[in-house]
Order: sequence, then structure tokens, then C-alpha cells
Amino acid sequence: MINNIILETRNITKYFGGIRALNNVSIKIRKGSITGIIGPNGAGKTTLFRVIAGFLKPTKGEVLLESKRIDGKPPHIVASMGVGFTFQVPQGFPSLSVLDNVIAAIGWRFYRGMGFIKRRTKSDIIGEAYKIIKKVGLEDYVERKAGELPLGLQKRLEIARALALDPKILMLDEPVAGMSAEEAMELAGLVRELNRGGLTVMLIEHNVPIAVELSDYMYVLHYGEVLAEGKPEEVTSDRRVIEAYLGAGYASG
Amino acid sequence: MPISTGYAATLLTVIAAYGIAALGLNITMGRAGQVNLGQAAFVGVGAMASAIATVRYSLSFWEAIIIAALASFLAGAALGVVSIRLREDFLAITTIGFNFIVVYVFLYYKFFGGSYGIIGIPKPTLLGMRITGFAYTIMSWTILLLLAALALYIDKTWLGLAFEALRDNEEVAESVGIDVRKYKILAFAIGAMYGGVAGSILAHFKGYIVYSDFAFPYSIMILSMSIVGGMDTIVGAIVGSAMIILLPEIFRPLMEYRMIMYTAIIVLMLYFKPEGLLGRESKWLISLRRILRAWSGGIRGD
Ligand SMILES: Nc1ncnc2c1ncn2[C@@H]1O[C@H](COP(=O)(O)OP(=O)(O)OP(=O)(O)O)[C@@H](O)[C@H]1O
Ligand SMILES: [Mg+2]
Repeated sequence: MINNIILETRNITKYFGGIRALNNVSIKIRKGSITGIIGPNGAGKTTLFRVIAGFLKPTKGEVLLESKRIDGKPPHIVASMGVGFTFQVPQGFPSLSVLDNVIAAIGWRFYRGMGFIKRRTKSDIIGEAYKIIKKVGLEDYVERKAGELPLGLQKRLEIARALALDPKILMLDEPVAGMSAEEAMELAGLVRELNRGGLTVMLIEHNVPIAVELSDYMYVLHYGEVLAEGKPEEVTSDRRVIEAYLGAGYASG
Repeated sequence: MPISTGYAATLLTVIAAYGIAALGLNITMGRAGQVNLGQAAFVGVGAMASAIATVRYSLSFWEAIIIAALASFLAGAALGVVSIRLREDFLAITTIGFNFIVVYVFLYYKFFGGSYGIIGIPKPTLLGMRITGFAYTIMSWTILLLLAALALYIDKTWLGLAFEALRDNEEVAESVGIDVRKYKILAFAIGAMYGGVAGSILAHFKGYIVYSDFAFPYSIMILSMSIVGGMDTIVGAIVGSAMIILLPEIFRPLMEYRMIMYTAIIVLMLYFKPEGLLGRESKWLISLRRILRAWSGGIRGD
């Protein structure tokens, strides 16, 4: 049971000055699962991701990856330990091609120590990058600059970059936000496919139907606290969750 | 106007030396995106290290130029460490401040020759022969080509990609496993090392250096070379150096207004052609490449 958990947070609290963005958040991510994190705007979802990825130090609490503490480690170490992560607003390396964006992430194995003096223009590296690019459906845009891609494709590139880390867990921050319904369905399919391939996924999603459809287990964050957790159908029928999303009047009336 | 070989040798040597300094700036600023408005300070560190090693400690030029490279690499790393905590605008000011500090240290410490500078810096010798005049020019260009080859190699390594990644987005760079601090320090150190080698070449060419040779205006001069040629390219640094050195030589009246000229060039280039004359997307470079390809095609006979 214990070693079935790939990632865990224990009582994470995070303050920004006087604002408490997270309060005693404890979650467990089972290996091979898709775990959804939903919650209204400002609930603390992105903050939780950034704490796990090492971009933010928790005010209190622990983050464990395969039972080893990773809180306090810098993001590049967390990344090389197998935590892949996409940004809510796609960023990437805008002046680099799609190919170089992915190769830059494949490079995680070489950035430590003196590995950086090796040539990166090797055919096996490029082959690996093409495989990942194909997986996310960007094969027609290999040479295009990342900054010139439309939003939907930039979101796919975010995933490609995270996958290039060969991660143990993939954390996606609203991967379908800003996409058309059709694009969103395609992307959901991709997430499902990656998960079938054995990858553990942690998914922040505003689009509740998509989160419900994809997730094996869900957490609802509200005002920085875990309001509810459980199977998707349990969570979405939880009275407190309905209140949080639709206002108290709806649930009582 | 007849050009004496001595004059030509001088100009070509100076072009090579500043070409190397500008190449370093292209790595720090162009590749890694780290603002450095004090490159002349590193030219100074290299020149001083080289002069002191040969004049005071009787080392050979070849040992001295290595020491110059190491000393400026370390000075660059030190500035890199400071830079980690700074936002871009503060970084710009800090690098200028660094330039001033280095110049004042040279001026106030007798060890660095103070206001008299250091004289009697020897010429290199090779197989018992002194390298002077045109031979020195050839040596300088050989070093320039070696360092240009190193820059080309860096472009093909993970180091080069890490530089570009951190230029584009530091957070994303961290998220793919790049230790942004380490690569920032390396970007400054490597760029500074190029400056230091340039300083060594200049010091042994002139035989005499003084603190004011490395003052802030020279940083602006090197920056204008970098920007004219295009920060993105390696040839750009060399072409930029040639243009900025030759312009006031050809139009003598410009000599008096050089600082204004550098500044005007920087402002105009950034406004009208930010990628530089030989920048990646520039028509010049594309047509130059086409010509070169046609030539090499002709040579190979296909
Ligand atoms: N760097 C920061 N400094 C100060 N406050 C912050 C910072 N980042 C987030 N916050 C605050 O923390 C709270 C949680 O923000 P967070 O971005 O984690 O929410 P979210 O659940 O991801 O929201 P959304 O659905 O809009 O993306 C908000 O009140 C936000 O204003
Ligand atoms: Mg968010």
C-alpha cells in the first residue's frame, strides 16, 4: 500500500505575506493513476504545483517523492528526479524551435556536473525528440519557433517538454484551458493514452466534466484547503463541493 | 593614401583583439541573455594579469595568456555570482559599476602600475624568435579563429542550449533540469575569459598598459561591435569589430566624437535592426551564405 504512493504532500501550508494560499494540504498520488485537482479560481491549485515542483518553499509541511523528501530542493533537481510539470500559461523557450524546446528538456541528464560539454546534436537525441514530438502531435511543426505557435499547440509543446524529462509523474496545470471543445477532447485523449502507457498524471483542471472523465481520484481545493476527496462521482455529488462551485443558494434550494 | 604595413598590422591586430572581446559578449549577452556593460573590465583583468606575469614574474607570453584567461574567467564567475540575485536592470548597472571598480583598483594600487601603468611588456617568442609586426597579427588572428571555433562548438553542446534556454525563460529552464545559477555564472565566466584573452593580446602588442585603457567607454565600444555585427552570430563579432575600429580611421573627423558614434550606432541599430547586420534573419548573412555555398559548390565541382 505505502509504496503504491508515488507522490505525497503532508500538511503543506503556504503563506504569501499575509495571504494563506495553502492550509494543511495533504494529498496522495497513487502510482499509475490520474489524480484530478479541481477548485475555484484562487483556490491554491497552481501554488500547490509550484510547491511540489520546488519553485516555492512551503511555509510548513513536506513533499515526498517515492517516500523521499523533496521540499526545499531547487526545481532543476526536482525535475531531474522525475517530476515533469507544465505551466498554466504556456511559456516554453519562444525563440527556439519546437525541436530544440524538446531537446532542451531531454538534456536534463547532461546538465549536472560537466556533462554539458558533450555535443547535443547526436542522431539518437534527435530521434528521441522526434518520438516525443510525434506523441503529442506536433510533427508538422518541428522547425517552427515555439513563440509563433497558436495557443493549443503551445500547450501540447508544454506536455512534450515535460515528457522529455522521462518523468515518474506528469503534473498538468489546466492543459485544456483556452482550447476549443474539439482540441480539448483530443488533448484529453492524449492524457488518457499517456496514462495507459504507465505514466502517473496529476491534473489541475477547471473544466470539471473533463476532470471527472479522466480522473481516477479527485481532490477539491477551496480557499487553500482540501474540501473533499474521493472518486469523481463521490466528489461531484458532495454538497460542500456543489456549494463551493455554485454558491450556497444552489445546494440548499 | 598609401597604407604602411605597420599601420595595417596594428589595425588588424586591434580588430582581432576586440573581435575576441566582442565574441565573448556575444556568448554572455547574445546566447545566455545576461547583460554585461562592463566587458572592458575583463579585457583589463586579462591585460593586467598577462603584463604582471611577464614583467614581474618573468613568465613567458604563452604562460601569461593562459593566466590571463584564468584570471578573467574567475573575475567573470565572481560577477556572475553577484548577478544571480539581480534583476536585469540592476544587473546592467552592476556591470557598469564593476567596470569602474576594476579601473579604480588598477589606478589606486601600485601593484597594477597606478597612474603610470605597466611598461616593458615583452613580445612573445616562438622557437627563439620574437613575434612582432605582421607575425603578431597572424598570431592574433589564429587565436581569434581558435576561440571562434570554441564558440561554434559551444553552440553545439548542451552548454550552448542551456544558455539559450536561460535567455528565453529562466523558470522554464529550471523546470527542465537546468541549474540556472550555474549556467549564469558560466555565461559570465566564459564571456569574460574571451575578454581576458583579448586584453593579453593587446597588452603584449602595445608593450604598455594603463588603467584608462579599460575604462567604461571601451565597454560601450565593444558592445557597439557586438550589436553592429549581431549578437546571435560569430562572424558578426569579427565584422562588428572591424567596422567599429575602421570607421574612425577612414573618417578621421569621427575620431573626436567616437563615444557619440558608438552610442548613436547602438541606439540606431537597436531601433532599426536589433538582430545586427549579420544577425540570424538578416539578408546580408543569407546572401553571404548563398555566395559561400555557390563558391564551395564550384570548388567541389557540383
Ligand atoms: N506569487 C504570489 N504572491 C502573492 N500571492 C500569490 C502568489 N501566487 C499566488 N498567490 C495567491 O494565492 C492564491 C492561490 O493562487 P493560485 O494561483 O494557486 O490559485 P489557482 O487555484 O491556481 O487559481 P486559478 O484557477 O485561477 O489558476 C490566490 O489568492 C493568489 O492571489
Ligand atoms: Mg492556477
